[in-house]
Amino acid sequence: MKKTIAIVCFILAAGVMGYWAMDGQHMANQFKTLKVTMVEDDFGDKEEKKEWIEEFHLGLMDGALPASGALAGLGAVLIFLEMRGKT
Amino acid sequence: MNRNKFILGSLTLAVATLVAGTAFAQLTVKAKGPQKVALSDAIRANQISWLSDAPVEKIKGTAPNVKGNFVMDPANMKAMTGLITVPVKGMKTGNPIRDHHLAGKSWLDARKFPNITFKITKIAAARVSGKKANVKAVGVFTCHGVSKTITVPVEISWKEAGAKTKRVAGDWVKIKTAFAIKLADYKVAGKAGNIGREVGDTIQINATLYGHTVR
Repeated sequence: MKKTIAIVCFILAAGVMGYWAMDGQHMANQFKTLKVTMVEDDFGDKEEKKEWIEEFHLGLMDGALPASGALAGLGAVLIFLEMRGKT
Repeated sequence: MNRNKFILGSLTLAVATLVAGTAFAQLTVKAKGPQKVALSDAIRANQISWLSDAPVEKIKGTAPNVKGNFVMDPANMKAMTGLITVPVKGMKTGNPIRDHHLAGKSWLDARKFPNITFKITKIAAARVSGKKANVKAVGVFTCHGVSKTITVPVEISWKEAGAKTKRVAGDWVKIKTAFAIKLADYKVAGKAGNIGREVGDTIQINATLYGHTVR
């Protein structure tokens, strides 16, 4: 049982890191994202309109690393306990 | 004889350049004489955006609540002066903790240096076409308490008061610029080892600002 949970923890840890890698690889959690759209201003020119929208991106230092570290650590403890129980 | 011709030719060229330079620095608008221009969010939210492009990550940020006043003479855009003020405290990066750090002591130190300013002192060169002017603005950029004279390209567009400008009185003026500053030039040290790795050693600044003439 412990071994199964440990494997699930390792898979989840890898999943968190994989998600971070696919989600822009931000160093810190990004709670808002700068959305840029081209709009025509009153001068008749196409200008960038930049606005912050609520869009979360996982950061490495304050999101992915602590979460995957905790999961991997838990997995390692469970494996250790499993091995100790067998001996 | 040839020497005289050469001198005469050179003089003619110099005078022509001077005359052309003066004539080309003139916007074709009705406004006469020096005009006071104030930035106004009622035309469009004035906002400066910036980019830190470091090897580890790109950080995009904005600086709202931009204030600014200028004096522009459409007949002589080379006589432009002005002051743009950006409060450090409102700067946003999409992460409130990072925003707090940005305004903190090791970065821009908002408590001690609440504003970043650019004071335009003179125009080094102006190229004008119709209601648009492209100038090289020379001014004093002050950030983190350090002032440096820099030259930045500025595009100025003029829109005369009319039916479409009724929501804000006066002629409308758009000021657009893009330039980069080095953090080290302004003694912004950040946390040890951050600059050049997580934060770019140069910051790209883009601004599109809207204002109107005031009496």
